[in-house]
Amino acid sequence: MPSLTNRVSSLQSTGASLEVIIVPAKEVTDKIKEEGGPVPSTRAIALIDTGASNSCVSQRIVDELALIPFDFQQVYTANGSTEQLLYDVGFILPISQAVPIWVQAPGADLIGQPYGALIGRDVLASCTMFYNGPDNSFTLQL
Amino acid sequence: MLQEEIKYFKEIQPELRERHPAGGFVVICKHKVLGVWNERHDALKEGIKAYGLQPFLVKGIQDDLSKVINYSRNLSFPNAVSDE
Repeated sequence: MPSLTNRVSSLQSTGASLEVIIVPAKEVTDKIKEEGGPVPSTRAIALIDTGASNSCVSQRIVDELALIPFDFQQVYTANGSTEQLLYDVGFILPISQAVPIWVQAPGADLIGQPYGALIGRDVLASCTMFYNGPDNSFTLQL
Repeated sequence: MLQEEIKYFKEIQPELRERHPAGGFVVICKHKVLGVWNERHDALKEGIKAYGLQPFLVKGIQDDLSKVINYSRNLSFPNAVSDE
């Protein structure tokens, strides 16, 4: 099974993060291809957040990929609850051999944070993760 | 975006549930129901075929609207549909 191990100087302070490629929904990219346009994709540093039931992407990525909302859901944070638009996106992990993991994610304001996305438990549902605190490393396996 | 479609879906969800007890995914643009498909990707594909690359709603008929996404961190969202 494909896996990656990332080791950093302080896993406690930086958290488990990795570079991913984010793409719009397959149905959207198929339509863009049909119209002869370039298929958008973007690279982003994503933080693995086991406290997030679902992944989210930054508003910058929503704008950059011109993501279109097709759904909505109630979202709870420490700030309270709001109804949010959801964007269909694919996360391509370095170990996923160009096969996206498809999710529906809200667009969050991640300004001031070094991440373009949070990887939540929806993506982790396809993975095995080993967090090795003493070694300052984590391993992700598909 | 999608406020009109979301409001309309909430109005007609009980009726859709009655008419489609096995579930499925409805496509709504403005106040028009395009149709219901068994698979979400088929609903999305047909919606794009009908409306192009613009916002429309694709929603599971049996979706529990009280189901929530949880974030333990303090996030803010620039595109909230509504505050509770």
